[in-house]
Amino acid sequence: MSTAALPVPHLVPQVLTLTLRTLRDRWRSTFGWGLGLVLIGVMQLAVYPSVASSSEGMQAFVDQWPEALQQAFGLDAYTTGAGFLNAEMFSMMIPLVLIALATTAAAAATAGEEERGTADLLLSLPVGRSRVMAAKVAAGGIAVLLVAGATWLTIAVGAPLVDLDIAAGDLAAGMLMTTLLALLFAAVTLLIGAATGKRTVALGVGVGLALAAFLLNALAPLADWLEPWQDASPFQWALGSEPLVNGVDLPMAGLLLGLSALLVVAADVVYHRHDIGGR
Amino acid sequence: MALRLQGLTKYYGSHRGVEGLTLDVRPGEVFGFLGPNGAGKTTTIRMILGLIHPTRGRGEVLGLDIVKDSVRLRAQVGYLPGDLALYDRMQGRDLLEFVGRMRGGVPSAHYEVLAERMQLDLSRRIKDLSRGNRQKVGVIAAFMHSPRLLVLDEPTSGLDPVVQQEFQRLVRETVDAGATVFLSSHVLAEVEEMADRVGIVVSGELAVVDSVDMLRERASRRVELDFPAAPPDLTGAPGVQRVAVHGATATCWITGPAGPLLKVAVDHGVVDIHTHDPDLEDAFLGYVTAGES
Repeated sequence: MSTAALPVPHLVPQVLTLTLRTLRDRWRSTFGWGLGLVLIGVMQLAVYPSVASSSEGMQAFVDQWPEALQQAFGLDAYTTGAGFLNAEMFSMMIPLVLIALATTAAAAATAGEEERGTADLLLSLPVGRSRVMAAKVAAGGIAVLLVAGATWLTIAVGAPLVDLDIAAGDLAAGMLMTTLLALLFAAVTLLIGAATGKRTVALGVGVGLALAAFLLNALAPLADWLEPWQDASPFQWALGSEPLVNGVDLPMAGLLLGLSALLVVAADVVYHRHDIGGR
Repeated sequence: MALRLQGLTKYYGSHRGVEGLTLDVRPGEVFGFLGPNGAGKTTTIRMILGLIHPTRGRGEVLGLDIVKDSVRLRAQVGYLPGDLALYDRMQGRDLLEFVGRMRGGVPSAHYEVLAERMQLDLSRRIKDLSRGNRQKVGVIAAFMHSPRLLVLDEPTSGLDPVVQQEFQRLVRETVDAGATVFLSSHVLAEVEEMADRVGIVVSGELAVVDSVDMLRERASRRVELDFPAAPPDLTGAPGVQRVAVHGATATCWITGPAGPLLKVAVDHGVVDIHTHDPDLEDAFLGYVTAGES
């Protein structure tokens, strides 16, 4: 029995097996972040009627703020459905939660396995590193899409109940642009993780860049010297065109997706060269 | 050759992992890869598995290059890591099923039978298992697909003696079925019992490769001689390598026949004689101290 060569496993079942394994490994964290976002969505929808009923007073209150601050906090159209969702959910909460979910998954993908020592077991199996990378990216992508989808569903179903005026398509556009934003920072995290094998380093770089980009985008309208740099922030790429009002910004969606894809390819190349660290 | 290493070298920056390792392991043999901790055993094994990349040199498993054909190579190999880490939240059965699927489908009967032999409860979560029982999961994962080459890094660490015996039976059966075993250890007794040939690695370099029998023959034996008073000078006696004196007792390390030494001892009125079996430990330690100095 030990003399005949053992075959190399087929691509699809192997990648599928590892994808499902990774999803099962991460379902708690995925479920937690998803539940959090859904609950925040429900809470925001619950307070919307009181915001809308005092819309004149609210708008007058908001109008007193300097315009730059209104922009910084997404308050410039606070009492419209899209404006409210933008200010309360899309300018901070949804992107940051999706980024947290996506970057932790990306850091766990290769660096996490390495730090826990399970990479030795996994990579001693007849599976190429590209297949491992593909499965990890698929699992992370599915997790982010599930949470984004659940959040979209919550708002899309809940909005008519509280007379919040938002088109399901525009809502989906906002969700999509935010998801692509999260994937970009996840791809950065993946690359750093593949290069270093250090989960915390990868997560630090990915989350650090995301926070820097967030702050740049939020603070740029407040400072003249910072304002020209706003266009350098991926937050601006994803949400600057107000997808909740104007739908998907295709060039920007392409930019986010293309950059992410490049980073994933780079992560794969780097991962192949990386020496898996012993514990 | 089941395993062929040619000048295999690994540097971590300027730190030497292993240097110029050249080694052939024949099909169907149990090869003991011996050396103290930190000698480069695990580094060598991790290069064979493609986990780390050689700085220089090359290696083949069953004709498959360790760098270029790594995935195909790994399909033929069963590996038990020295520092075993498993997916802790999984049940033993789920983990083995996962490993089997990643290998292209291994019938569950294969690991169920092994679990029964090793007396392992597969329904327990891995994080709830003792160190010895986790090690059993690792052993089963390495054996269950009937690999052609088994690479075992410190395999019996954590296993209790009864399970160690079962493990050794398993290794023998696997070899009888045509597989080759590459067994790394810093514990000589483990290798001595199972291996046909032994390579001793010290400070990243291979010090010697020989059969266990030859090593044993060359190994010095210890003979303790009790005299009524201070022992005579025995350093010149035939076959004596070294002598240590404690009070009226002389401890001699000898190679070859003991007769000439005993004759001298008898002439000096020896009272009692204790002889010890030739011990590979001495040979092993001899190479290690020679290699490190």
